[in-house]
Amino acid sequence: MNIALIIISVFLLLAVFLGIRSTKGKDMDLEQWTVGGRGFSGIFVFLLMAGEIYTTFSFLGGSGWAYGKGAPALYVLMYIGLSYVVSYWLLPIIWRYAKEHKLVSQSDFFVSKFNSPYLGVLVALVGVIGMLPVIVVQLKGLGIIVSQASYGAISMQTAVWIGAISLTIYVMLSGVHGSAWTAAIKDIVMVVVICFLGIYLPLHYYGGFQPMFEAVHAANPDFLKFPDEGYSMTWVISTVLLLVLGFYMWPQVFSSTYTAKNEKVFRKNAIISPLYTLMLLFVFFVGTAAILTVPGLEGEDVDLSLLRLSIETFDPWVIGIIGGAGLLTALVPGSLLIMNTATLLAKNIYQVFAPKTSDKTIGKLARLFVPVVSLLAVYFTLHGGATLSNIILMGYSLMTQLAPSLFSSLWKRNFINKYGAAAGIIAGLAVVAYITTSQTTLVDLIPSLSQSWNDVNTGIIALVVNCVVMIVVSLATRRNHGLAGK
Amino acid sequence: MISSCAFQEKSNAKQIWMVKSKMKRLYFLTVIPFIGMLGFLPFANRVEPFVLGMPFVMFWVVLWTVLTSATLAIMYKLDPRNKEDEKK
Repeated sequence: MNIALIIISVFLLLAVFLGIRSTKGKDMDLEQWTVGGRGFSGIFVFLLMAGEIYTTFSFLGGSGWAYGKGAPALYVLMYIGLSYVVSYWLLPIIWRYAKEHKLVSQSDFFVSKFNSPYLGVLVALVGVIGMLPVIVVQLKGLGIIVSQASYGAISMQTAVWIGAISLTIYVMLSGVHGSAWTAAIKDIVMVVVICFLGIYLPLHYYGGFQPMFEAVHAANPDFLKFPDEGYSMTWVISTVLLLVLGFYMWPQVFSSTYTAKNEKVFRKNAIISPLYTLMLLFVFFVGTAAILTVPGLEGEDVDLSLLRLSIETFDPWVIGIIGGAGLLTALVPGSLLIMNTATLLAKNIYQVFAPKTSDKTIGKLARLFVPVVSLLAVYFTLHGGATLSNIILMGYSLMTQLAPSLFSSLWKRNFINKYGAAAGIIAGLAVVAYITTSQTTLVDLIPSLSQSWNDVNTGIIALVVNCVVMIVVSLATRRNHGLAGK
Repeated sequence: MISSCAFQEKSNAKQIWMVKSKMKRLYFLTVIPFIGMLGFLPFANRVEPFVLGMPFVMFWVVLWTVLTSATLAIMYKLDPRNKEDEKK
């Protein structure tokens, strides 16, 4: 065991300790476990949401993209910033409705708005399927961090298992209170580490930011702007719009809005939140610094660029701190994701089919589902390829399918009913599944379009199909109702 | 009596109109970050000139991230709903 691993273990123990301590003196029923009794102030809501948004992906995937793809990595900064503009309008409405109706999960929102528990089951299933890839990302990140920081002593596989077991224990003991506290520490450590790396590495290797970018530019003149094909302008604009739509569809993000004390919290947080995303800039600097200093990483290995460069530059104890920060960025979102998945399974799926189950049993059941979810995630982590960024993008295409019915439900003259909502979501999912497995592009479907349309994010196709089916089915079933009434 | 009622109605209508026009300004402001960040991106997609040490397209995104914050701050100031909350 080297010094790096010892420091990482200390971080892990500290997180578990804080998690257990934070629950003392609180009766941990389902409402306390998942939405913290709806009493969080602005700063806690901010930290909790930041905790969910800045995951291991920010650390490893962001630098991986800057290293492997260059300018297209900027899409992360763009969509997070623009999502806060949406949050200014959307979150207060969601919060108000959730408070009036005492909602606990995202699926509850659909159940209540469309008056259909079975639509809730569908939404919960989409949530579970969409969140699994993101849990996989956290486990993958944990695996990468621990195995790299052990300088090869621990294999990736063992590291993933260690990560999954610690995550499971952590979630089962602490719930959302633990996550909020760890989130506070996580964000402080993460910002310090990222800014340090993002400033030190370019200065150390190149003598400044501009010399670094100039060196990369000289080596590959097309790398620092969006290319004409592939990750092109059409790709980035369509992807960012899609991600902005999907941003608040994630069950864990959705339900963390419930923790707020009042609705002004969201409008105020929206102001500073875009500035906070600029932290990712330093992650991009690290990835860019790695291009010429640790060349040759390809495919999935681009996610290693930050750690590889750090290992070449620093002593093991620094690696320990970087690894510890990385561990927290996996632990906080990972725990919130697993907790939400388990809650959805217990409350919005199991309880619908077994309505006599008491709320206390559901609370217990939710905790029992935690290891099941973890095991599933471990399976996918060890058996699925693809880089962190691509996995996240797939989860997003799934979650965005909830956007049409959710937004329509907020509309005063909403004519979308539960049949339309369900049919739209199912159609959207089917299209996402078909496109992902068959690798279809927009030009394959409509050959008359010019080649530049090829890069349009295919999630948009699914979204259009979703909307059309939703509207048609809603109108069709409404007419039937009318006739039956006559 | 009647005239004062009519006057009140008139001032109510004026108030509603003012709130509505304020909300319109907010809707307009909402679109600005999208236009700046995405709409003008094709024109900003270049490496040179370097600004603040960054390639131009990266600087563009950073600039609009800051301007997004600024826009939201202006929206917050103009939004009559936030003032109502303060009075309470």
